[in-house]
Amino acid sequence: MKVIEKIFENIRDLPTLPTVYLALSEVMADPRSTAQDISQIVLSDPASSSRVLRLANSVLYGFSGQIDTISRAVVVLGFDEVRNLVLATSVMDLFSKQDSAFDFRPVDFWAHSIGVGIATRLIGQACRLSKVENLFVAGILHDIGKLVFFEFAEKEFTRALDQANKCQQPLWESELEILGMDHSQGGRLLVENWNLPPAIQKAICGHHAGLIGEPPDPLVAAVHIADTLVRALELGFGGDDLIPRPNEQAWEVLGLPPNTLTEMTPQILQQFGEATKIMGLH
Amino acid sequence: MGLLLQLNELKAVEPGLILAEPVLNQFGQTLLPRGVELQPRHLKVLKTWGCKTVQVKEEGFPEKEAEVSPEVLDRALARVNWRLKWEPTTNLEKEFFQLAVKRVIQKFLKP
Repeated sequence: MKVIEKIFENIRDLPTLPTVYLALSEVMADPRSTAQDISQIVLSDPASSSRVLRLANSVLYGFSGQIDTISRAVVVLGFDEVRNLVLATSVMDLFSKQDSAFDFRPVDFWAHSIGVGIATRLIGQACRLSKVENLFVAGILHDIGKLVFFEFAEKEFTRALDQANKCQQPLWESELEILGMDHSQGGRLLVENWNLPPAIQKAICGHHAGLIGEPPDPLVAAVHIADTLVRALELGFGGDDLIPRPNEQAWEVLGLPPNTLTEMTPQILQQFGEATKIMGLH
Repeated sequence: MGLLLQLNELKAVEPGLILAEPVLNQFGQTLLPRGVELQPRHLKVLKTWGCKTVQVKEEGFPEKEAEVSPEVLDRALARVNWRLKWEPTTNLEKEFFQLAVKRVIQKFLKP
C-alpha cells in the first residue's frame, strides 16, 4: 500500500486540533463575542494559558512583565494572535512519539520549527505583511508533514532519513523517492483536514519552492526564506543537514533591503533562546 | 542583565546593539521594548525623552576577524561548505553563506 493511501486510510486517526483552539474558533466566529469570552476559553486550558502569557511577556512581543492576565493578552495582542499562539504552543502535544529515528528527534524538530516561526514573524513584520497573526504559526507548522510520516509511515520515513543522510540529499527528495510524496504535501493533508486558513496551507505546501501561484504569496516567500536562514544558523534540526539555495524571486517578493537578514539575526537568536526555554525544549 | 551604555557617549549606533532591557519614559510607558536592535533613528527618540542610559546585550557574533584564528575559520568554512551543495554567487546567497560561517564560529568559540 502506498504511503498516501495509508495516510488517507488513517485520516480519522490523524491528530485533531486542540479542543481549546476549536472552541476559540467557534467563539470568534460569533461577532458578539467579547474579550472576556475568549479569555475564559483560554483559561480553561491551564497549560496553554501559561505558555501564552509567558510568550506574550517574552522578547517576541516585548511586553516585558506588562501582560499579567489572559484578558489583557487578548486586548493587547488581539483575538487572532492569541488563538494562533494557543495553536502554536499546543500543537507539539498532539504527536505522541517522543523517541528518535536516526538523528531525527522531536525535540530538535520543534526547536527548528520554533526558529522558523520566529524568523517568519520578524521577516513578515519587516516587510509589513498583512495578517501578521499567521506568520508565527505558519512558520511553526511548515514541516508538520514530517511528523505525519513519523506517526503513520515510520519505516519509510526512517529510510528517507537514512538516504538523505548517506547521500547528502535534501530530505524532501528522499521522501519523494521512498514515500511517493514529500512532507510539504503530507503537511498540507493534515492542515486541510484541520481546516486551517488557506494561507497557512499554502505556506506549508510551498515552503521549499518559495513561490506558489500568481501573484506570488509573500507568506510563502517569508516561510521559505526563514527556513533557509534557520538552517544556516543551525537552530534545531529538521532531519537533514543541508542549507538549501534561497530562491531569489521569493526574496524579491518580500521587497526587503540588502542585509536585512544579517541585521535581524541577533534578534532571531535572542528570541529563539527565550522561546525554546518557555516551550521546554532546552 | 547587559552592558550599560551612556547615551551621551554614544555618537552613533553600531549595528548589532540589542536592548537587554526595555526603555521606559518617566510615566512608565515603553519607548522601546526589550530585544529591539538599536537604529540611528532610535537615538533621537531616546534623547528627546531625556534617557541617559540604555542596557544592551553583551553577546553576539564576534565582530572582529582578529578574534577568530585561521584554524577556527578553516574549520567553519569546511563545515559550511559541506552543508552547502551550491556556489554562492548572488549577494543574497553570499549573505546566507556569511551568516552560516559566523554562526559556526560562534558555536566553536562558545565555552
